[in-house]
Parts: sequence; C-alpha cells; structure tokens
Amino acid sequence: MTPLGGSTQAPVDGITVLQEGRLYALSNPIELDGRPTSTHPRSARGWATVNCYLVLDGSSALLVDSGFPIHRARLLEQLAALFDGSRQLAILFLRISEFNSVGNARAIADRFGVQTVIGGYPDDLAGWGDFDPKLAPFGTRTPSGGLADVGWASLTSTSQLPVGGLEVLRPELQLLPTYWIYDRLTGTVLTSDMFTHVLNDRPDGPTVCDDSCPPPVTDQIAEFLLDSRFWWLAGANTAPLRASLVDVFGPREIRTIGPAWGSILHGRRVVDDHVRAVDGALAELGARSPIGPDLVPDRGTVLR
Amino acid sequence: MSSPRTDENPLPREIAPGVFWLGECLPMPYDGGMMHSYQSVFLVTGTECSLLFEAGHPAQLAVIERQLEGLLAAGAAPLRYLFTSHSETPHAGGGPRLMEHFPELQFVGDATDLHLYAPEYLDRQRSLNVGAELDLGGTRMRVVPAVIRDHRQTLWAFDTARRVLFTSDGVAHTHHHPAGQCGRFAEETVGLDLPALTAIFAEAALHWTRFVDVEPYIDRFDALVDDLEVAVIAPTHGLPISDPQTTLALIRAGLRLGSTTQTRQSRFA
Repeated sequence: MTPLGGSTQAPVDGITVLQEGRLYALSNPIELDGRPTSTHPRSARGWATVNCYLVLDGSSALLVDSGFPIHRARLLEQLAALFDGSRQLAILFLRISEFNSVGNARAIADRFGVQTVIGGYPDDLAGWGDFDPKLAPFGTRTPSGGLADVGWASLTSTSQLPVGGLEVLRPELQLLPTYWIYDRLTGTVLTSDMFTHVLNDRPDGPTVCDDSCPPPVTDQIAEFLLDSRFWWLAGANTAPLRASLVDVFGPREIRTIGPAWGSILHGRRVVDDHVRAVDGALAELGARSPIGPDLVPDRGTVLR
Repeated sequence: MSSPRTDENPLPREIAPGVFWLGECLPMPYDGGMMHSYQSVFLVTGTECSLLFEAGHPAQLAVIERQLEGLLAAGAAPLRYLFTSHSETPHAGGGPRLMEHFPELQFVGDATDLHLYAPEYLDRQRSLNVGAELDLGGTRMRVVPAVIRDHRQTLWAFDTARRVLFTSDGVAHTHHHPAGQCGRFAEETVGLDLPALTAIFAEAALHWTRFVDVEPYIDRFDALVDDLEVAVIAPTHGLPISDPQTTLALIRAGLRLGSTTQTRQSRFA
C-alpha cells in the first residue's frame, strides 16, 4: 500500500488507501467477456473492480459489503493486511439480496470473527450470507459457523453503525433496496450500485479514476444505465431521481465516490464531472419514449 | 436475536396435482406490527423427473431441503432441473448446496453471476431461451418472459399440464401471520388486503414502479395470463392464487397503489 496524497492506490494487492487509518477500498477484478452479470451491460468488455470498503474508528471496524465468492482468497488476504484482530468487526450489507454484497460474509466471520451484521431488513441477517456448501453443507442449519451467533441490526439510522463519522443516506436511485454511506471524515460517499460506470482495460486497474481519467460522456452513461440494472429509466419520471442527487451532493463536501463496482472516482473536479454527467443521463433517459413491456423478450427471443 | 418464527409451518403443500409449495414464512417487523413474506420454492414433478423452481433463501435452506428430501422419499420423480428465476439470493441462494448434493442436477433458468458466485457448477449449467420447454414426463416446463421483475434477466416458467405460472417477483405480496394467513391460497385467506399488501412489497422490491407508468406492464401480464390460460399463479413472494380472473384485479390495484407511494423511508422495521 502506498499513500496517494490524501488517498493512495496499490494496484498489486488491490487495496486503495483512501485515508490511512480510516478508509480503505478492497478491490478485485471481474472480466467483462459477455457472460451475464448483475453489474454491467452484457455488451461491456474489459475489466471492472468489485469493491468492498473497510472503515476504521477506534476499536471498531466496519466492512461495507463482502464481495463475490470468486474473490474470496484474495479478499481474505486483503483484510488480513488491514485488520489485526484488535478491533471488533461488523459487516454492512448494502444490497443484502445480492451475491456481491453477502458472498464472503461466512468466510470472513470464520477467519476474523464478526460481532454484528447490519442490513436493510429486520431479520436474522447473518443467514443471508451463509450458502456455500463447503462451509454449510446440504441439510445443515444456517446461519452456522462464524455467523451462528453474531448479532444483527437493521439499518434504519446512522445510530446503528458501530463506527462514528458516517451518515446513512437512502437514495431514490436504486434497483433494489440499498443505502449510500457518507464518511464525513474523508468526504467519501459509498454509492452502492450507482456511479459504477468506469471500466478498465486491464485486470489490475487503475482502481482510482482521478484527474488523469478521460472525462465522463453523458450518452455512454445513459446507455450503461439502460443496459444494466436501470433498464426502466427510459421514459421514466426522472425528476425525483435527479432531485435525490442534488440532496446528496449539494450540501456535502464530497471528494470521493466509492461505488460497489467500477473505478473509484477521486477528486473534487472528477466528482463534479461525473455527478453532472449522471444527472444529464437521467434527464436524457427521462425524455425518451418509455420502453415499457417492449423490453420483455417475446417468445422465441434468444436470451443467451 | 432472531425474529420469532412461525410456530407451525403448514408447508410443504400441494397447490396443483404434483406441484408442491416449499419453504416457510420470513417474519419482519413493519410499521409497528409484524409482516410475513414468503421466499418460496416449488417442486414440479413429472412422471420421468422433477424440477425445482427457485433455490431458496439462504436462511431457510435447512427447512426447504428437509421438505424436498421428504417429497423425493415419498415417490416424487428424481430431481433433474434447478430453475432459478434470477440471481438474487432469496431466489438462487440455495443453488450451490443443491448442485453439490445432487450431482446429476442441471442448472437451468437465469445464470447471471453464476461464474462469480458458484463457478464450480458452470459445466452443469444449461441456457434456455424464452419459449424453450423441458419435458418432465406428462408435463413440460416452458420458459416465459418475466413481465414484472427487478433484474432484467429474470425468467418465469409455466407448467403446461397443470397450467401453473411461476412468477418470481411478479404478483408478490406480504401477509399477516397473526391472522392465520400462512400457507394458504390468497382466495382462502379471510381479511387479506391484497392491494395494500402488494403495494407494501413493491415498496421493498419493485422500487422502479414508482417512476414509470405501470399500465403497460399490467396489460402485458394480463395478456400473458389469458394467452396461457393460467389456472394457478405461484409467486415466489406471496400466497398462491387459484382464481386468477378474480384475484388479479386486486393485484392490479396493488401495483397501481404501489406506483403512487411516495414514502422515501422504508417502513420495514
């Protein structure tokens, strides 16, 4: 890990130090090769990182999302490099019903011990992350192993978070129930499944998109949204979605956007450019004709 | 710290001859009360083999697997196909355990992200197009378009002999456990406010319906039900529907109600 001004990047091991002692991104690549993903358009090519974030505060540590199972070994190495066991670890699932959010919770709990899991539903949340037959075989009860007796908290307010300096935001722009997390100490907003549109040519990054990155292109972002999770935006009433962006970015000093996948957007100008481009994409999509049920493939359509 | 569970689980239940409803209620506090949701799995049996529609919520796998083993031991045809509607964990979470336990099981349906969450089973994944059919013996499971969905890759399925339509997130609704609504058809349930309960589920899972005109989706769904001459609707999150012509009017009202809901903070919890 190498400090990078106030933030730092170390592409070799996939750890980006957004602020030493406070906020780290743990990034691992997926190849976009035409196989279907829940994260990107089927037509996208190249690489993208899937990002988890570790927030430290005194004796507490909060891991935001736990990544796809395919990244398990490297993610555990990354966590081991940052987490010495002296802090109490909690895991926050930003998208509790998605494999890239809950995918390694059980393995992390087994290795490091987890005190609490936090998510968007008032249920025994640990069970959502315990599905691997190597760890919890067919017929056995879940949650089990390291998740068997952990506490859980439903994320209804900032007070549920075990580390200070964070604010829970509830964005209008979402496919499934999710939250955004704002870290006042670093000026970073973790945006879950939004601002995920920056890809890479190589598996090793760059993980961070800063002033050296090409500027965002509104039309490309519109197509990215439409061809992935936000298929319903064409012809939608996007005014409240655009207002929600203003609510988040207007009153806060945001210098970094940390998406759950895609490059981290760093620097005030970069943040402003991408917010403006996403807002423009929403305006453009809202002005289009509604796709409506025409998007639903007719009988006989080849899906894959 | 677990939420209280259902005292007596009325599942599994046969909702059409040879079609079994598996799972258990998932209780959640809601707006000061207790609301229940289903994350159901359906075993569709033929004379030659069986198919499982959905793989189960990770927190309920032991219950579902016990129910499945009981039905197979009681004479259901061997399990050959696992059809997941899409890659969310309440729909596909049990997939890896099932694939590991049944070495002959084929993964069909939506395989989004499979190479990222369970790549060891890719060699048993088989892609199906809308309109494709799987012969179970005495009936076929047809892949049909998911008219109401969250992830765009979602697939629905239709049992051609029993005329059961499996709708995943479509026709989803919650129910009240204290009112004894668990394990029943919607039509059997006294006091089930389907429009309100459909809107509540949309608040959690079909957020997009608040920003679009839902009428084209409703029209397309009605056309699909008519075209297939559906007798039973089996949603993953909700009570089965045995009288679509009557009950779908309430579901339509719920979708319209949900699409006009303006709450920005979830009332779950």
